[in-house]
Order: sequence, then structure tokens, then C-alpha cells
Amino acid sequence: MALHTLNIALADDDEDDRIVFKDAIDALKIKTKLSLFVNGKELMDYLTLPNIILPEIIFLDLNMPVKNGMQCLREIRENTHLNAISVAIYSTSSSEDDIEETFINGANIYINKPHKFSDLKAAIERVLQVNWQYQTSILNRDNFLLRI
Amino acid sequence: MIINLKFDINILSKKILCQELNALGVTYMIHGFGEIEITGMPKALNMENIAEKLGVYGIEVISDQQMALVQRIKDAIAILINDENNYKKYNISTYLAETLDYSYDYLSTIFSETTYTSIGNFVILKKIDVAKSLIIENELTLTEIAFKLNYSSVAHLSTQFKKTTGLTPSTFQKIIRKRKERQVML
Amino acid sequence: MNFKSLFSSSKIYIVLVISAIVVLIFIGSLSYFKLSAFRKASDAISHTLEVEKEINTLFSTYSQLESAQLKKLLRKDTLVNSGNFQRYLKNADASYQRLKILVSDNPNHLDHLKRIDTLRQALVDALGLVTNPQKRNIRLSENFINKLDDVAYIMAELEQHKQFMLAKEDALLRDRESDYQSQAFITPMMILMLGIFALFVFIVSFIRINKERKIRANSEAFLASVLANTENIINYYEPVFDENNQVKDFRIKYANARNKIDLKLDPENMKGKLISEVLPFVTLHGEYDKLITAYTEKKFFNLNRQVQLNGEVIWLESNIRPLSDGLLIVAKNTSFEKESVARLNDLNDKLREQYEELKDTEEFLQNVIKSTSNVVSYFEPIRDKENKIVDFDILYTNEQIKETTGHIPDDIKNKNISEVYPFLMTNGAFDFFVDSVENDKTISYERSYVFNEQLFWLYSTIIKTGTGICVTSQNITTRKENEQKLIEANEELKIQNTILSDAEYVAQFGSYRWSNKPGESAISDNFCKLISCDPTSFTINHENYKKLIHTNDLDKYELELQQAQEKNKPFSLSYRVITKANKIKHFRTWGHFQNHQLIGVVQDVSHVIKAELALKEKNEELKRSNAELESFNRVASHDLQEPIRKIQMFISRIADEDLNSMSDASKGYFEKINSSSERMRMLIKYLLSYSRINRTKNNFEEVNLHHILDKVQEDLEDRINASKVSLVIDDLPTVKAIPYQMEQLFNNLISNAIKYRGLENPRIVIDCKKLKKNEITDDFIKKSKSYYRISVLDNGIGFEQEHAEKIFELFQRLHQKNEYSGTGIGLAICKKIVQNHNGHIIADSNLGIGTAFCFYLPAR
Repeated sequence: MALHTLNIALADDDEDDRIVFKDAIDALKIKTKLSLFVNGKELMDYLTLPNIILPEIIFLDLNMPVKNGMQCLREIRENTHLNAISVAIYSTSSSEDDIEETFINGANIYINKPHKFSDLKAAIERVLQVNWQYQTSILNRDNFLLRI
Repeated sequence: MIINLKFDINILSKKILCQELNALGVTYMIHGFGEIEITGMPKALNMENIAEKLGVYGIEVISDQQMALVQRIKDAIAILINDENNYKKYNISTYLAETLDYSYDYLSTIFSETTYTSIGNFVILKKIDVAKSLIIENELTLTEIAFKLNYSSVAHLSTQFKKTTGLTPSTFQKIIRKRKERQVML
Repeated sequence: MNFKSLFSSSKIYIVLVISAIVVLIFIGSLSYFKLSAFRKASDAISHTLEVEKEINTLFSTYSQLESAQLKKLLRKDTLVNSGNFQRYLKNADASYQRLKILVSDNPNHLDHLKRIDTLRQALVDALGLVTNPQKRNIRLSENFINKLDDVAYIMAELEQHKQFMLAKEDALLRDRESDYQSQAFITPMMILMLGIFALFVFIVSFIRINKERKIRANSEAFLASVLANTENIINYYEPVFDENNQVKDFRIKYANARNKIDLKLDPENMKGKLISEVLPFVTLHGEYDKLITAYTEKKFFNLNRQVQLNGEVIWLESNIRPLSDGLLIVAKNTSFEKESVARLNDLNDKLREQYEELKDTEEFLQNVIKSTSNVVSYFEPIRDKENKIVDFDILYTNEQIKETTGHIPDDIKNKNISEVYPFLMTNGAFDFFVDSVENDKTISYERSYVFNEQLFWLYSTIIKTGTGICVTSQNITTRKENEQKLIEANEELKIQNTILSDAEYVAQFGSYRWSNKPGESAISDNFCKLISCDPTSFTINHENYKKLIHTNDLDKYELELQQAQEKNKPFSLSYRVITKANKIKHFRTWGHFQNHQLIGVVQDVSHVIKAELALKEKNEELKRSNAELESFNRVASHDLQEPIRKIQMFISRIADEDLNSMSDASKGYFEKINSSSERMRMLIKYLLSYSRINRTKNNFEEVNLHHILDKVQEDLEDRINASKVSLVIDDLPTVKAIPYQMEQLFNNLISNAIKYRGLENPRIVIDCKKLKKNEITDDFIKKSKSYYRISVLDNGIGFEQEHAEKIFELFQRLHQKNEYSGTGIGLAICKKIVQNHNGHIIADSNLGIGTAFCFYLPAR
């Protein structure tokens, strides 16, 4: 961790959420580089650019204009280049159906957008920690599912 | 056509490692748990060349001594958990201390400092990871898995599973099954 | 032994004749001897009498002699009297000689006669002296007197001899008379016997002969008739000799009438003719020699050959037999026989085949009888003195009887039916048996019996066979039952038809059958009513009916029917008709093609169509409201949560960063904002979960409630610890449920109990009891046979029982907001979850004492 800077991407159409998320990330001790996208299309356009450093983890809001989170998830999972990226769904919906559906479609993490900044920080930290373990330890990434 | 594979990363890594080092003309000794002692290398070669070659396979040369230790701790834990017979005999701290020749306190501190997580948490993570594999294989009942992984009860396993993953074992199993049905690639 | 036959047998007859002759000879000779004895006896008597007469004659002569001499002496008349004396003497000697001859057989008499002869001499001498010397002397000298004495003496002696002889002869006569007497009796008796016996023999012989004569007459008549009617030709030939006394031909002496039939020859014409003329074929093939040989050597021949006579060829089998002085020819026309033999052989073969068949058939029959499912029995009638049938003897019964009455055939064999089947005597079967035997009838009848507590219907057929009857009984129980069922089914059908017709009316139904053939189409009465038509003014057929169909719908109607017919599938469609009363009605029809007929029902769905239209409108409305609800859910779940989340997020940020720099009042307000936003979030959250409860129907799985409670306890750990509530959990089952809903249910109930806990020793008890459907007194729809009743009991503040139902309604709160925090949704969610699991929830509470929430979940 000390050696490494985590590349993180967030796609969320809500500016406030983006700001809060960035604040939360910045508040963590973990060294990160956060890229923000206002919708799914922007994110996907960026990811498919050549010669970029791919993020280790992407946070995806589900409800987004132009291209929603589910579409992005599918595209990421269908693209072999992007396959290794961990996908964390970051949504308000606590519908069990929605959650299950995203996991089935290849999401690794599902986070209900917290109502408190401290919760948000804790959630992000845990996600990054667990993801870190999955990336640095001999853990089966196929089975990486986390619901927060 | 899709085939499902199960492979032992240890063997795989070791094989690749040996292959690459031999190709570079490096002489070495494998100490286990991610530690290799280089006994000789050609003059034109430096450590960066070796790191670059191995990097292709995701094998990282850990220069930091602490990081190396952490890796060895992880490997030891992984081996212990997979070794059903020994796992039940040992207390994790004793095991690590004996295996790695460091005091457990030292190992624990190093581990927490480097990974932002405790050895205890990692053990849980690792155990749940094994449990996940076993659940997916669907050959053992949850009770049997709980016994295999030295849980006091199914409830204990379920609770820890839920805490660790946020999902119940059955929901987890269902999701993975449906993934396979839909052939979602990861 | 038959005496008659014995009598008539010739041997015995001969013996009898011989013995009769012997007896005749015996009796005849006996009679002869008796007769001759009789004659001898009578001869003897006459001889005796002759002897006596001669004796008397002799001695009287002697007396006369003496007296004559004496007279002369007295008269002195010598001259005159001397001639008499001489005559007397001569007479006496003649008589003596005769007597001597007569008594020659009697020596006694001969002795007497010798003496008598001597005495005669003496007498004569004496008498002669007396008369001659004293001739003229008046006085008789002494000498003379002496002489006289001598004479007297001799005379006395003679007299004495005479008496002796007479006595002797008398005795002899007496003997001979008795002998004669006896002979006189026996002899005629013998003769009479002889006569009677001879008469008897004669009569017997006569009867016999007469009988013989009659028999012979009969035999002759019989023979004549045989000869006349026999199928054999019977001829008699006598040989004709040539000069050398050699047989040269035969003459027909007799020919019977058969000649005419077989040989076309008139027997009368044949008689007296030579066979070589009449029957020329005999001269061929050495037959003639055979005839001669038969005659001369008295041999017997058989000839079997084909002969030609008068242009006809016939088979003739002749039997040549020498008989007295001729030949008896018995011939037979075997032409027909020969053919017959051939036919007979065929017949025999056939017969043999038939016999084989019969044997097979018999075996087959035995097998049939054995393997038949019918009871086959043979009964022989038993009759009383008046020849009335009183019972039947079971002579045979096949194995099948076991299946029926349970008897074993060998056990009941030779027993009486009154003993084995007493019921047959009373149920009329016996009368049928009797009728069958007496009138040689075949009778069939059906009767029910109870064997081994099981009802049997048997169909029996009685056939008179020989002297008895063969009774075959077939078990028709199933058929009878079926018949009964059929009758019941028919009744049922009648009722159903009535019901159907009522139903048609009530349900506005009609049925139809359309056929291509005229007259086969039919519609039900109610159909007529539906199309307001008078059946008399409307020829019922499909074409006419189609005229009533709305022109806009007719094409569709035809098309649908055509497709249904091609695919041979049932169809169902709706169309409009314009009834005879000019009303438009909506009909719906269901039908199918069966044997080129179209069969189906039609329903007047006009009101349904109207209702449907109304329903459609309602549905549209519902859809709209559902869509609104959907969008509300969306709004609630996302759009509504977003702002509140953001508010809370920023509240938390302000709290983190600037709370300390606020005034105390601001802090108060800030806290109120915080709690309000939190409350709002909770409301939204609960509302969402409430609305989502029925949306996840298919997530039922096996849920161990213990695991659920473990989790809930974990979730509520902090609150449980903080409130110091003791939680007691009974054995809990595994149920089919939606796990997170169960979690929510227990969570809500336990949270509720914690929230409204009492002040002292707060305690929550969760127990479970399995109850059968009928053991549950609470009123709800029970689809499962048994239920788990799970109770969450607390000793909390409770509430008044009157609110027990109200508390499960949405947003119903019994308490002030500030008294107890709550949304008024929790229990509503509980109710919805329990209902979602086909269960039921009730609350039972006592204010200040505690509350029991009981919910039922289906058990398997």
C-alpha cells in the first residue's frame, strides 16, 4: 500500500455525490488517484482510450443519464481488457432484486449510498481494503462479492 | 465452449518463476513463501531486469523487507487454512510465529501497518474465500464446510460469511450459479 | 331252467318217447301176464268144477251101478236088468278115465283114483256074484248076505274117497276162486291203466304233432316269404343226366322272386328250364364244372364274379350248396354293395376323422369345462315313489365352483342339491330344474346369491342332458353391477339433463348440433329462446342459422370454423347475431367437429361483453393507478430517498465540522432537523419495504427460524443489551419462507417488544407450537393441514384489547410520537409479511401486563 497508488474511478451524475465521494476518498489514509465521470458514457469512452492507466476499481451509480450503471457494468464485463477491474455499484436503491441483478451481471461490490459522511468513508475504506486483499493476496476474484 | 478450471496458484507461480529465472541464467534457491535467494546472475543483468521479466506474469519483486514478510504471512495462512489436519491443531499466532521465526506481535504489527488490516481479519477473509469455493463446488453441505473450516457452528460460519461479504451463503451461491448460467465473464 | 324249452328239445323228446314206449310195453306185458293168470285161474276153477262133476258123475255112476244090481237082485228079474248094469259100468269106466285125465296133475287125486279103481273092481265083482248065483232063490243065503256087506263096504269106501276128493277139490276151488277174484280185479285195472296211458301218450303225441305241423306251416310260410322277399337270389337245381349217367346240365326246380329284380328273369318261366339256357354265363370260366363238382362231390362253393346277362353287367356273389338231390344256389347282386363298400370305406375314414375330432373335442370340452369361468354342473333327478322329482343328485361340478360358492367339487359330488345348495329349493331354480327334466326344456334364468358374504349374480342355463340336467352358471355380477350403475347413471343423466336445461336457461346457454344431412341438425330449446325464434317457423340448419349472424362477423365465423375443421381442433369464438326480434346479441361459442357434425354450445355473452367493457375501463384505470404506484415506488425508492440522503449527508458533514461553532439554539434546531430527516428516511424506508413485500413471491426457500433469530438478535444486540431485555427462545421450526421477510418480521416484533417493554424485568419469550388446521380457533383461510403458531410474548406495557386489530393498520399509532419513536408501519409490515406467507397474525394484549403477538405459518 505504501508503495502503491490506487487508481479509482467514479461515475455519478450527481455533482454533490461526486464531491462528497471525493472528500471521503481524500479523507482516507490510502493513497489514491480518483477519476470522476458524470455519466456512464464518459466513463466507458475513457476506459476504452488507449494508453491509459486502468483503474483498479470503478464505482458506478446505477441511475445515470445517457448510459446507466448497469450498461456500463455489462460493457466492462464483456471487454476482456477491462475484465480485471473491480466494479463497485454505488446506488441509492436497496432493492434486493437490483442488488442481486448487479451481482449476477458481474459487480463485485454493492454499496448503498450512505446517509452519513462517516459511513461513506468507512464504506469506501472497507471496499478499498478488501479489494486490496483480492488484488494482492491469493484470493479467488471470481468469488469476490461484497455487499455494504 | 466454456470450461471451468481450478488451479493451484502456488505451483503455477513457482513453475513460471523457475522457468523465467532459468531463462535469464540466474542461479537461485527457493525458500518457500515467496522468498528466493539469488546466488548468482550474469553481469549484464540487474534486479530491475528480473523484476520486469517477472512482472509480465504478475510476479512482483518485493524490495521492501516488510512487504516480503507480509507476503510470507499471507502464504503461510493460506497454506494452513487449506491444510485441514494441521489447521485444527494450531492456534494461528503460534503457527505463524513458529513458521516464520518472528514473534506474533511483530508479525501482527507489520501486517497491520502494511495492509491496513489485521492478521485476524485476513484469516477471516481467507477462510471465507475458501468457504466460497467450497460452496460453489456444492459438494459439501454448509455444516460440513463449517466443520472443515473449524467453525463452531453453521450459524457462526453464516454470520461470519454475512459479515464479510454482506450476503448470506445461499444468496452468494445463487448469484454465482446464475452468473454461470448467463455465462457472465469476469 | 326253462322247462318248456327242455320239453321241446329233441333229446329230451326222444328220451320221453322211448320211456313212453317202455312204459307201454311194460304195462302191456304186465296186463298180458295178468290176463293169462286170470285165464288160468278161471281154467283152474272150471277144471276143478269139471273134476268135481266127473267125481260126482263117477261116484253117481258107481251108485247107479250098485243100485241097478241091487234092484235086479230084488226083482229077480235078471233078464231085464243085466243090460243096465253093463251100461253103467261102461259109463263109470269112461268117467273114471276122464277123471284120471283131469286129475293127472294132482298126484293126491291119482292116489285116490288108484284106490277107487281097485274098489270098482271089487264092487263089480261083488255085484256080479250077488246077482248070478242066487238067481231063483227066494231066500238069501249067508254067502249072499256077506256079499252084500262087501258091496256096502266098498260103496262106503268109495263114498269116503269121493268125499276126500271133493273136499280136496273144494279146497282147491276155494283157493282158485280167491285167486280168480284177485285176478278178476287187477287185470281190468291194468288194462284200464294201459288204456289211459296209451291215450295220454297219444294225446301228447297228437298235440306235439299238431304243433309241429303248425310250426312247419309257419316255417314254410316264413321260408316262402323269405324266399320271396330276400335280397338274395335263391334257386334250386336238379341235375339232368345223360345216357352215361353223367350230369350234363341242371334243371331249375325253384327260383325265387328276386331273380326278377336282379336278373330280370321271371321265376315262373325259369322253372323247369335248363340253366344253360336261362343262365348262359354259368358255362363260362369253369363255373359249370364247379356246379357239377358241387353236386357230385357234395362240396360247397362260393363264387364272386361279374356276370353279363341280357346286356347288363352285374356283380354276383353266389353260394353253391348241395342240398338233397340238387344244388341250392344263393346268389347276391353285390354291384350296389361294391359301390357301397367304396362309400363305406369313405364313410369309415370320415367316421375315423370324426372320431379323432370327437376325441379332440372331448379333450377340448374337458379343457373348456375346466378352464371356463362358468360353473358347469350335472344334476341327476331323484324321484319319490310317485315318480315325482324331489331332489337332484350332484354328479359333476367343475372347479369353478370354488371361485363362486367356495365348494370343492369332489366334496359335493354325489350329494343332494337340497343339502349343498338349499337356497336352490326356494329361489325357484329347483322348479326350473324339474321343468327342464320333465318337459325336456332348455331354461335360462338369473338369480342373486350371497356366497361368503359376497353378492353374486349368476346367469344359469339348464339343458336336459340324458336323464339329468346340465346347469351352466355364469357369473354376471359385474354385468349386473354395471347394469345397476347404468341405471343409476341414466337416472343421474336424467337429472343432469334437467339441471343442464335449467343451467342453460340460467347461464344463457344453448347447445347445437349442425349436420350436413338434412334433419340431423338440432338446437336446444334455450338456443331457440336466445335467438328469439319459433322452432316451427324456422328450419333448423346451419345455413339458416348463419343468416342470423351479423354480416360483419360472418366471415370471421366461417374462417374460424374452417380452420377448426382442417386442424380437427375445438374452437371458441365470439360473434354477434341479429335475433329474430331484431336485437343484437353477443354470442360466444365453443365447439368441435365430430363425425362431420359440428357440436357445441353457445352462450349469450351480451351482458358479459358489456361487463367486459366496463371491466376493461376499470382495468385501464387500474393500470393507470398501478403505473402511478410504480412511479411512486420509483420516486420513493430513488428520487425521494436521494434528497433526504443528501440532506442527511450534509447534516453529518456539518455535524462533523461545524457543530462546535454553533450556538446552543442552533445546535437544538440542527438536532431537530437531523431527527426529522432521520424519521423521514425511516418512513420512506419502511414504506418501500412495505410496498415491496408482495413483489418477491418466488423467493421462498427453506428457512430455519433459529438462524433467522440468531441474525435478528445479532442485529438488535445493542438494543437488547441496552434495554436489558431477556430473550427466551423456544424450539423453532424450519419453514418455507422468504428469508429476509422472516428477518424483518421477527425484527419488527422483537423491536416492538423492546420498545414497549415494561420497567421491571423486561422479558421476551418466543415459542412455537404445531397445530392442526381444526385445532386453530382463529378465523382465517386455512389452506394447509397444519400450522406453526409462533408467539412473541412480552411483559411490557400492553394495550387495550379493543385496539388489537387497529395496530396492524398502516400509520396507526397508539402512542404519542414523542413518547415512543415509531413509524406506524412496522406491524403493518408484519401483517403483510405473514399474509404473504399464507399465514395470519393476531395480537392479544392486557394493558400494563403484556402483549402476545401470535402468527401462524403453514407447516408441511
